[in-house]
Amino acid sequence: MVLKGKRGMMDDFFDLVFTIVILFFALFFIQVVLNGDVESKQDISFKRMELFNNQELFLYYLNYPLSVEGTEMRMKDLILLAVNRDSEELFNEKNKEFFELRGVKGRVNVYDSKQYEEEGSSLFYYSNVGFTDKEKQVMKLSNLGGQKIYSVTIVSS
Amino acid sequence: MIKSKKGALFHWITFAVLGALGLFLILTFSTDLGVTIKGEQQLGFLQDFYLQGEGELLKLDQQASFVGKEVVLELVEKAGYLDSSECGSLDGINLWNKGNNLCFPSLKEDVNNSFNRVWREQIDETTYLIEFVGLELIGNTQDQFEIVRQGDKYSLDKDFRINLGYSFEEFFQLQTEAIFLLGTCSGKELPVCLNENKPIYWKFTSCTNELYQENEKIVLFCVESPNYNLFDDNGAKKRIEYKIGLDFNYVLGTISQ
Repeated sequence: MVLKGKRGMMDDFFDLVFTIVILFFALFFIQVVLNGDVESKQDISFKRMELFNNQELFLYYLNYPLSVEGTEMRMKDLILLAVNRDSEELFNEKNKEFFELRGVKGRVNVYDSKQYEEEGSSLFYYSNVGFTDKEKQVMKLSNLGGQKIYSVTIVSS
Repeated sequence: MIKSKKGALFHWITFAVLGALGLFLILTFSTDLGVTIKGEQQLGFLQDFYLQGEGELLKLDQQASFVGKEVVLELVEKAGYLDSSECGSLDGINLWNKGNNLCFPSLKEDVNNSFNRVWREQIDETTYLIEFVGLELIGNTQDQFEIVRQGDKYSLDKDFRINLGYSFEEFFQLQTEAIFLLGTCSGKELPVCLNENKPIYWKFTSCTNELYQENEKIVLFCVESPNYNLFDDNGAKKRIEYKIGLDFNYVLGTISQ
């Protein structure tokens, strides 16, 4: 049916406007849904990458070479040495060196593994951040030959 | 087609319903459109296998370092022998010669055997082929770590290469010095000659209470390492001390080994 005259033209014009508006919203909806899915998957990827980077940084930290009284060692050896000497000062000094030289922000706690399992307090810790919500990295090391503490758990975040 | 205001209203209602439905779906409905997580497989591999493996290797290095230090302390106490010297011993201290017969320890073999014995006692049943180069201790084995996750298996060699902070090659330096002392002081008045010629870190009998003692021209020494220290179990720095005996019943120029 064809309407001739001004009224018919107006009616067709409104049909066109409604079609465009509906199409716009339909496309907007599809775009939001598609984008939402892609973005949420991207977020998962980024979070996993961040977690991997933190875990790798933790391994790098434990293997970080340093010198104690003229003897070369790694951070993991230093931690055990500090535990055996009961020297928080030594631990703090070398951790400060690492965190400042490498420009790293974070926190490291060292526990007697027994205390860690019982959710006890740490032997010592170093932190240059107030609070961190990063996922924790945990490494348990045997303190072979240790006289009092036989295993330490190192927790980084 | 409806030709009036009423017709236009229907259009608006359709639009409003679609808008409301769209808004409702956006807010409540999380659709998985099959978009895969980028790098999921790769990151999964890195986290489940690579990082786990690196963690195991880190622990292995730490164990090797501990065992290596035990080996150093055991061998320096026994003049480099795993058990006893072919040249005999005096007061439990192994001799490096008997007259003109030199019997230096075969260090490579002794380090290897001592390491494997301590490793089996303290760690596990893995057998290593041990070598030392400078300050480094290198262990090779056929054994591998295996990490299994959801049917996938990741293997990595259980080998290590660590900085021990001590070189077994220091034994060779001391052997050269021992030969020099034997050649210089045999047939002479021993206490005087030894005091004049021995390096300052060669002490008579004990490193703490030096006391010259001689038994049928056999002299016992405690030699403080001129180059290296180790940290003991309490974390205290400790000078490495060798216990060595030399027999000065030695005739110059007729060494046999």
